[in-house]
Amino acid sequence: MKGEKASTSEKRVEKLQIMVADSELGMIDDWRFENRAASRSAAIRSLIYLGLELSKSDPEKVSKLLDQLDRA
Amino acid sequence: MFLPVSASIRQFARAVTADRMAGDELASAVMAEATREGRAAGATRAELFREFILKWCEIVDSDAPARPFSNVEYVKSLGPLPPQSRLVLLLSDICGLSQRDVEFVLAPLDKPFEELLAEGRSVVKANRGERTALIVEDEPLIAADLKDVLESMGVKVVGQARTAEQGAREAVKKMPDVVLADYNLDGQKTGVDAVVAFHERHDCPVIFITGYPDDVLRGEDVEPDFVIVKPYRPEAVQAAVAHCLDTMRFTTIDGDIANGDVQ
Repeated sequence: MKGEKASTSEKRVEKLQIMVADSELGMIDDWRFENRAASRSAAIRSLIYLGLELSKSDPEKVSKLLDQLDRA
Repeated sequence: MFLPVSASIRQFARAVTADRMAGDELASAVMAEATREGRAAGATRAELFREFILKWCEIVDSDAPARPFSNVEYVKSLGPLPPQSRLVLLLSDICGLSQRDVEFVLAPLDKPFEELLAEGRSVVKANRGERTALIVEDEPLIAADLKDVLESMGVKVVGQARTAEQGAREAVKKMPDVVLADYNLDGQKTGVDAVVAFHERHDCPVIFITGYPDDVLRGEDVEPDFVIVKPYRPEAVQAAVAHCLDTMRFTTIDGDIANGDVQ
């Protein structure tokens, strides 16, 4: 049995608190089940990843989406 | 008494990280990676534990760069596995695996099982200075027994509560390093209610002691952090307390808890 390697000997994980409305949490959970994410945290991490990737590949679309969000 | 299989892995992962959220994330991330590769979950408890540990080691040892926000990145970020002596202690004294099962799960062992277990148990007696505990238990005899178990390892019991409300008040007032709580309290509120009431103001590891683990570890949002099954053995309580006291909590960015490794 190994598993001693890791890139550093210390943990590099932080807990992040976010506030969301019940309805938004419902949307996250729906996305989680549709996409078979292992947990709610894993679903949120995936969504952040998707958002960052979209920002890089289609900044125009992201800008429009952000405008919609700000106006809502 | 054994926990359901998937709950056993969550219990173990929570024990390793001394943190409910971090442990559940570790359990689900590692098992998701194993399943994604088509590695069948073990048929027995020991096989599942072995599968979990092997996959965890494989992820930690892998040189391939992990994609940000992936399961692999999360698992790697938790750092290396605890030493074998600590794993033997957790699997044996907290998860209740037999010697044969522990040897199978962790094979190959660096040293004989007995030696590793003795090494693991020696941490229970380590001098940790003035560490404190709160007991939330409505059965006076069990509370007294838990107090003896804690004091025998040099942990000072700074409060004893019999109800969830009393437990929450005492936790905020006394700021203990660890809380031991009965899951079923006074027929109305549970130890979880007590923890929910104080955790925002005092975040410390909580060890739940219950005779009904199946009801407790069901994968719901509010589940106990750390579960010991009744009837408990004093070694299990001591191992859980020692491990909690030695493992620093994870940071909450908006709060001020420090994260870290097993010291």
